[in-house]
Amino acid sequence: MTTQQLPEPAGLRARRFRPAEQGVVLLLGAAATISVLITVGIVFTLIEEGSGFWGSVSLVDFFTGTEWFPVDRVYGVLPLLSASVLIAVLAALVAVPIGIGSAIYLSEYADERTRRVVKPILELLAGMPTIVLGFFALESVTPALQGAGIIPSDQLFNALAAGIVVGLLIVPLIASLSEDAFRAVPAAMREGAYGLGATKRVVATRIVFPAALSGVMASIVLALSRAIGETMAVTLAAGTQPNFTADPTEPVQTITAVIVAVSKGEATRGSELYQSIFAIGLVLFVVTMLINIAATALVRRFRTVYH
Amino acid sequence: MATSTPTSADIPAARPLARKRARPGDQIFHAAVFSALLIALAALVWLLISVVAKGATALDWDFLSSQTSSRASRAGFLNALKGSVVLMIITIAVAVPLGFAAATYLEKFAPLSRDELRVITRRRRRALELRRAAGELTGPRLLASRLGIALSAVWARIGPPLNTFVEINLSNLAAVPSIIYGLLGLALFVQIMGISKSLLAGGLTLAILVLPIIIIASREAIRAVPRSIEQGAMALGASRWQAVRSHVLPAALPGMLTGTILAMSRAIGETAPLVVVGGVAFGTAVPSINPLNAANEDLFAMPLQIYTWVDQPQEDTWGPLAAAGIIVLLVTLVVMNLLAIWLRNRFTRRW
Amino acid sequence: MADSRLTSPPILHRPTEGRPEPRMELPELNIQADAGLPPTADEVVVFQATGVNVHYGKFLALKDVDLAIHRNEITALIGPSGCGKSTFLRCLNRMNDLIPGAEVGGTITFHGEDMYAPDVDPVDLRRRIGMVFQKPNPFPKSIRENLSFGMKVNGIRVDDDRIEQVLRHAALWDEVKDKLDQDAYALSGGQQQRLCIARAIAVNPEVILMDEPCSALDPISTLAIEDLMRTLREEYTIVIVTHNMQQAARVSDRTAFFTVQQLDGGDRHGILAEYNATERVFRAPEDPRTQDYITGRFG
Repeated sequence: MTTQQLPEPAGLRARRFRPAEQGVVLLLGAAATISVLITVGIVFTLIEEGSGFWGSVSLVDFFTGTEWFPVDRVYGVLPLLSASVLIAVLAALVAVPIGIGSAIYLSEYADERTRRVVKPILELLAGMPTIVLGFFALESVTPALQGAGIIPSDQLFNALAAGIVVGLLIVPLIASLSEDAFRAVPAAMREGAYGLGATKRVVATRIVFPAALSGVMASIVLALSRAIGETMAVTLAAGTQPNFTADPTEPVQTITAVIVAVSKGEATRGSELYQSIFAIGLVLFVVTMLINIAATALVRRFRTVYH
Repeated sequence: MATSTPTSADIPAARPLARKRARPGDQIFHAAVFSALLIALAALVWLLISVVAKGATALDWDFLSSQTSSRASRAGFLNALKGSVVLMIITIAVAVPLGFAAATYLEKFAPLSRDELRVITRRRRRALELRRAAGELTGPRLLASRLGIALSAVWARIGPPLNTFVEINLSNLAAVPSIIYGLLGLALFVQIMGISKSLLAGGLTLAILVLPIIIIASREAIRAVPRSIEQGAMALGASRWQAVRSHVLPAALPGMLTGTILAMSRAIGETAPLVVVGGVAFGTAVPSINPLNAANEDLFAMPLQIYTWVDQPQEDTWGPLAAAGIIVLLVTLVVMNLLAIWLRNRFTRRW
Repeated sequence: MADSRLTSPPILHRPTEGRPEPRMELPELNIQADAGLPPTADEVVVFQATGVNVHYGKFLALKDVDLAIHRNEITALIGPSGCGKSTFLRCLNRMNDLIPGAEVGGTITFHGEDMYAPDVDPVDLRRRIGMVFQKPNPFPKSIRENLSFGMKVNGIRVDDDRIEQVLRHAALWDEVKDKLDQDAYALSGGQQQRLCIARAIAVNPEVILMDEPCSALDPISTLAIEDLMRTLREEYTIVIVTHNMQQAARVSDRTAFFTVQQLDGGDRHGILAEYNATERVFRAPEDPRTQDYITGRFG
């Protein structure tokens, strides 16, 4: 330690190049670009593998056709798209009240201990494999609906059971994102209202909910996108019958269910059937992408409310 | 909060404090939001009960140790179990190194801002002029240096927007439906690269699927390590990479592993992309657990086997098998989640 | 809460940022006998700043600073919040390089050499100019690893003797000798900060920069660190940023007073108002702004 005589300090060393480090950073950067390559890959394969399809099927027929019947080379996407939307809407009807109600309870009423117990359980529900939900729909929900006389007892597949289980799947998504939005509302706003003699209900509905509205909307939009892309539960519960209808008691086939049904068989590469699943995959990709962009825009707005 | 002000006794004819009274509106509202939560929890309980009720009888050692079969009475879960293990090994081997590397780059080395890059370019330009004036740089080396600086000026322009693009891209990728990844895997691995519809193709597809999730979770873990740790190391004369490797990454590792386990618990339950990539296997040969052999093994996985069974027309014979498979899958998921929670609680640091 | 200072004795360390001790009586200043050491003790200039400007993006944080820092002295940088004293400190080991958009103009020489010359290696520079931060930031590892990291990076052989020597030097040995392999975060805040000082001196720096090293510590730990600084001065050049004027008065040989200059356009930037031997700055400040600040009339 006491060797600190330093009569003449050493000169400042010239900048050193550290090629090994530059190399490491380059490698790390290359890994980061893979995420871009994945997107490029998705867009490329959806367009490239489905390109033949767009040559042989007219766009107008595709987007306005109300029948999907590949055996006769009839490719109208409307029954598939409407089925995806129908199930997403049914899911939202189930999940929005339950999810937002749970979020209000957790952020405004529950104590810390309840939250600590309940949130991991909700996470378990969020992480539930969709094949399990499909089994549940088929084994329990549909029989219950038949028992209640909503679904004819001789009919197994229906949009309603699929919508209900998909709703269950997105409840945790809505609940946790909405709760985050509620909790982001400054305590001072709540206290101000309590100071004026407001009750909890008034604070929750008149102060917290409006202030967090864009966050809640974003959570619903994200949940819708998740519901539209959901596959296994709808494949199992809603059936394999393309059906252009808004009646939830009827069987329907979503875009995702068609992709699964075609994949299970042996559709050879280059065949029209093989190309068709990439074509409807592209439709699905674009629809979810648009919904996500809308949700991101909402989230951005919600983030800039308080500073 | 002043309490020493005159008491109510000093004020003539003060109205007495109102007693508590029932507010039906509030009570109904409270009951409504509470029952919303109860409905969600009750649905989960109903699901678990119906699965256990159906599958408990079929779940025994024979079920776990026999290979799959076209006859329900003999069919077991062994193919699925081994297949899922191999899938997890491949997914981890591919996605974890890539994900951790990408997260490290994006959090610690990605171009931060245009201003910073401009300053760096300016510094390099000054250095060049100095060395040129001193006669150290001539001919091709001067040209090469000028080219380097021109590149860094270009990077200052395109780097930051590129980085923003990567960010947006990443959050969008995490929200792409999993079946789309299946289509990518089918086209890329099976058709273009010619890997057969095998465990390898399935594992690579799952790796692509979880990569964005791992990157996002790892970035959060890295961000949670205070900058002061990195600066402390750099103040001792460490380069940025030394500081990141020796201090930031070790401190972030538990969080990164937690995120990885949660991503894996997503991958292990995925059915749709595997169906699209591999179809439904008709063979019954039990795959070897050796991942190097994965390109030659039929695609088996727990959720895929469950799907095959649920999809059978004779529900009464196959249903219990599917339910037993679901119990095994759910137990695996709960164990993974508990592991993640334990890891998070055990190693999370309060800075 | 508001007026506890009326009844309690003056506190050594005031955590309230940026508010000087009001109405400080000059004779009460507890200036150490040796702190008045004539600034001519060693006229070797370590750092010479000339016309230093620091920009953060478009914002001018520090304007036109001229300052010489001498070897084996403690130089204190004081002044109100936002006056640029920490910014200046971070110029001295090019830590500002790590902040996006920060740009240092003017020149700073280290032993006569331009620190910001384009071919100077900032990483190597930081090995010679150690730094201790405002909040103790030990690495989340054992005490031993905290010390050995810098040594390994700098190619210094790590052995137990060396570790003991460094810890003794930082007046920490007796408290930690039985728990060298325990997590550094198990130590108290004051011990953590002394570990950070030990970590800095373990790599044999020539200078130690301290950025408000006591602002997160209690008064007793603060005194321990101040004692330590006085011993370290024998071997190192120390530059310390502090909010606590009493601390500056107690430990430093020279004091630089920075202040905020408010322009008509609403722009504000830090400037160096006065730089002199500590005793002069506190007993007979030349600049009226220094006078106002140390007597609590500022703001």
